[in-house]
Amino acid sequence: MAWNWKKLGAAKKSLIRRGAVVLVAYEVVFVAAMFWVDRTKPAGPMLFVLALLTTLPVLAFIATLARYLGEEVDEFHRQLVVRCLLWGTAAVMATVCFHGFLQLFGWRGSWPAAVELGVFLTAMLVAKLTYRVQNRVPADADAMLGSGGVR
Amino acid sequence: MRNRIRELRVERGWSQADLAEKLEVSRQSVNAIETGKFDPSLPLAFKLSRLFGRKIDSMFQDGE
Repeated sequence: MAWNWKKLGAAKKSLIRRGAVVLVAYEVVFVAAMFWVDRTKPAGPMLFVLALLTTLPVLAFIATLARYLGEEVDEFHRQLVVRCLLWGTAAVMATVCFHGFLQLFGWRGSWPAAVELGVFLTAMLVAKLTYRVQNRVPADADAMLGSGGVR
Repeated sequence: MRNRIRELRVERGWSQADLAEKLEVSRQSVNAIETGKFDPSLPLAFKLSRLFGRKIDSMFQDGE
């Protein structure tokens, strides 16, 4: 299935545009916060404020997805996006529980920073690709003859 | 849920892409409905009903 911008619905185009802005904002805020922390070595409340600042684009990303779900008129696609979000959420919850259990019982190692975000996006991507393969459509000529979809 | 969407579409000589355009959904959605992987909501079922000029219960059977 080729990716064609012109064939995308209005809601999906808006999601991609807003999502790109939010991801750029995340990069800018994250790098700026890291730079600031590196230069000024803040401690206490200031460090907490900076950490909170980096969560704002993540919340904006979730809000962008929520807005997309409200705007998407294709209910089948909406259902697939919700399922992908559930897979992403499940992967993050499992990762956090796994990590928490290890720390609770004395593991002193550390994982890369913001690993949960990577887990969430990877799980969503894998779910999206899986659903795309599961729901691939036959060539229109075959569908015209009523030969059926790929189950 | 079984349905007669494919049959009605083919009767009219429409492709899945044609029907998707009329319903303002993707071809993937039309295919999912035709193959019974996805049951449309009431608003979409009414849209199909108007498009094919049929009552909803003549297009969808609950299989009981």
